[in-house]
Amino acid sequence: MNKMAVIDLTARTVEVGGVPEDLRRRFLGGRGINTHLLFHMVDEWTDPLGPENVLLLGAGLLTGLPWVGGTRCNFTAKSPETGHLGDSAAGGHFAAELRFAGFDHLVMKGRAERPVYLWIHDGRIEFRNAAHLEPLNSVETQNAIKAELGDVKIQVAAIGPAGRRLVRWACVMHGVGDAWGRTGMGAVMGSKNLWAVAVRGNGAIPVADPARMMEVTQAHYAQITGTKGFLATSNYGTLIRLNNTRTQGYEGGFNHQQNMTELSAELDSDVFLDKYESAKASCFNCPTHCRHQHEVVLRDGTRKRGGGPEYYGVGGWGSQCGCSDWRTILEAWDYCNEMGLDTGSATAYTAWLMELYEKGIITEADTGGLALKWGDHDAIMGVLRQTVEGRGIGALIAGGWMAAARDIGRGAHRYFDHVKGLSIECDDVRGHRAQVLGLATASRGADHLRSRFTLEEFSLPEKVTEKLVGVPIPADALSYENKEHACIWTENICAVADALGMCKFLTKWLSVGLLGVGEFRDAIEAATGTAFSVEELVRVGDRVTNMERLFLVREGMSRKDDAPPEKFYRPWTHGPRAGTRVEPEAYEALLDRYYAVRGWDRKGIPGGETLRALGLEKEGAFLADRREVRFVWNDAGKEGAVHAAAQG
Amino acid sequence: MLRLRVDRNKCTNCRFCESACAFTHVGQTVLKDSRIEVVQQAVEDQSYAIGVCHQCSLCPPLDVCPTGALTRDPRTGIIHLDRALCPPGCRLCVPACPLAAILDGTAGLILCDFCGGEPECVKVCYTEALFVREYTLTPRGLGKHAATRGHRVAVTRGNGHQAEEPSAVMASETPDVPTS
Repeated sequence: MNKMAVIDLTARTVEVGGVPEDLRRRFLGGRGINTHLLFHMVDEWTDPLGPENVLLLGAGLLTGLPWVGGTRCNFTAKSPETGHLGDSAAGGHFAAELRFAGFDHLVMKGRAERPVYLWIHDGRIEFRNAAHLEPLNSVETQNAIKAELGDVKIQVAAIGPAGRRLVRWACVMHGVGDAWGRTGMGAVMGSKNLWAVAVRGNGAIPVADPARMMEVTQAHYAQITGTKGFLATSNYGTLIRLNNTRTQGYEGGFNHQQNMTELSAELDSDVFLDKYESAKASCFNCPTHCRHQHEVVLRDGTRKRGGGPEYYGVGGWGSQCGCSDWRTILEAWDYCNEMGLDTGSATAYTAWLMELYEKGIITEADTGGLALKWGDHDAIMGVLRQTVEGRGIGALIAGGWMAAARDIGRGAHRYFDHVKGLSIECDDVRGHRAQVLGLATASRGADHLRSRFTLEEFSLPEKVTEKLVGVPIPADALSYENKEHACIWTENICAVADALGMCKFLTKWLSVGLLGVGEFRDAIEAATGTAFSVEELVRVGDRVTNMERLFLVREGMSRKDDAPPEKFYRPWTHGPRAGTRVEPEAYEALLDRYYAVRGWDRKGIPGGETLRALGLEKEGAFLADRREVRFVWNDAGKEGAVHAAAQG
Repeated sequence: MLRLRVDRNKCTNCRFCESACAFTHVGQTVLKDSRIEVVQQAVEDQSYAIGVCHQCSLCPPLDVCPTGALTRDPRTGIIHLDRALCPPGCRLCVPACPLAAILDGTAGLILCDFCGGEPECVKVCYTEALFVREYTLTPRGLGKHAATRGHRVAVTRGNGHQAEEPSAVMASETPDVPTS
């Protein structure tokens, strides 16, 4: 049976034990167990970049099995970028290899005295010197570790120079294009002087009923590859959204000032496929080969190969920063991956700075001499280079946007669109009400992988959504009716998928025909022998969501943090649905209904009855003397919490 | 005669073939016991080395095997490895195979057994990097492509190559024997 290891980097000790059976039952694995551990191992006073923060690595319950698409694992810690819940998942081959090496969950505590990397193989964990990796970027680091340990099949998760220099939105990289990107997990890793985790193993993941597992796999394989959307997702990957948003008028333009841009039609996924795509790559055991590989001749004439891009980067540097040159976008994308910067934050920060520059809030004096004109190649690359090198405007934003906004002053924070401190994505979902609610209530901050009801964009007939969600969801995206149920349904399915290590591209999150909780149940039963009912699995999703909510409430969050970005209350400027905006009263009413269905009070605090039903009353005990905590950023750039008014 | 064929350019490195193979043969996902191996050398590589038996007409390991542990079934053309007959520490066949198809398993050398004619790896290879093809043996023993069998038409793109019905001459196909 697979193990959980507690690795103390300060003392250089490792404790190995089994994954507790009741945790498996209540949280499955991956993000579920990680959330439980994080809640108990840190508190509201924990410094995200201090040795007291814990870095949790959790592989999904079905990761590494001969099943379809159980590819992912989660890094979880207190986030240095947002100051609260930090959690990020990535695919590739790392998670499966981690399980083959004998471990499902790693808990990394403390801070190593000198840079180290972990070498985890066949049930053993070694600390190894990493000082010689200093000059290498994230891709070179992985190759160097493979060469050093003498096995090409080693899989590595490594930080790049940005993570080592504690840029607060640094990511952890695996391969050329797989990143644990959001919420700054790379900075947490860097703060622990842990520069990489290398895994390799030949262990077996026990399967309770191999014959049944084979049947289930074949059925799910046929189901996934048989859907109408499969060819599109495997051909375009996430870039499929580029065309949708561009033509239907919900792409974010110029830092969400517009919802449609007049940029050239060059910014189209077919252009990328024809001109720059050189190959496709899959994650472990996944027929959907959605990850692009590209080869591009950069503006300076050098030929460059890399992984990606995904929609987040293309939309971000594209319409958001006003750049329609694929060479610039791909150069920035590759640079971020190599340096270990989160492309989600990188694009949002760049677009934000460009708007500040346009409005005259910052000038060349602040930007280290960069003229931050929309779409300018040198501006985009300059911001990224300065961030990694820690100079000019980069030194400012390396500490996160909140610190930068405070240092810039002049109301700069008003131009940054975020939820709970995390930047919103490059598309503009204000015309999709369930998605607005999902974005605003997502636990780690604005996020499309927690609670975005993607199906809303397809205007499905009510009888279809009723079968899925249990209540009819209006086909009209602009309607607020019953959208709280859609949001909660998505939250639960996402939480379960994350706990299983399942990619959302293969779940009902994306398309009605793909895998849902019923299919998850079959796979879990075949793999582990544990029988779950569909209701129990949904309750696991409920439990994870409530656990995260408790974590956020303990951090001082409440209803005030469940609001969409301010720009969403302003009307769309362009396109077929110009004038669409989020009406505050209707949104507040929707939020009230969401809280009611969730069993939370009007402030968004989970009620005692809800917690008891989910077995979380122990975790919820602190609610009795809850205080509202507000984050302030002190002069050293480190966050501290200040107690404000006590709440009943 | 059915043969397993590989089109490297279509492989996307999902390694579902490895999982399916190991699971079929040992009932567990011990990828070391997979009779097929997909290797990515450097992390930035966009094509992958695939080691699996092609049931070549000219098989160098058959010639070097000193004990007859390797034999070809004259009816199906499939090469069988009987580990019990391997002299301890011999491994002559491993470097002799130009396709790196003879692999180290948990309990010794392993070789693709073609799953009795319906390879599991082919069933899960969506991009058709692996496929089964019918060949007839000419008197000289060289494989000659005769007909397509069990081949689905891939509408999706593979690795930068528009997938289509295989033509009579597969330029990208790994040849049966090294040309020399």
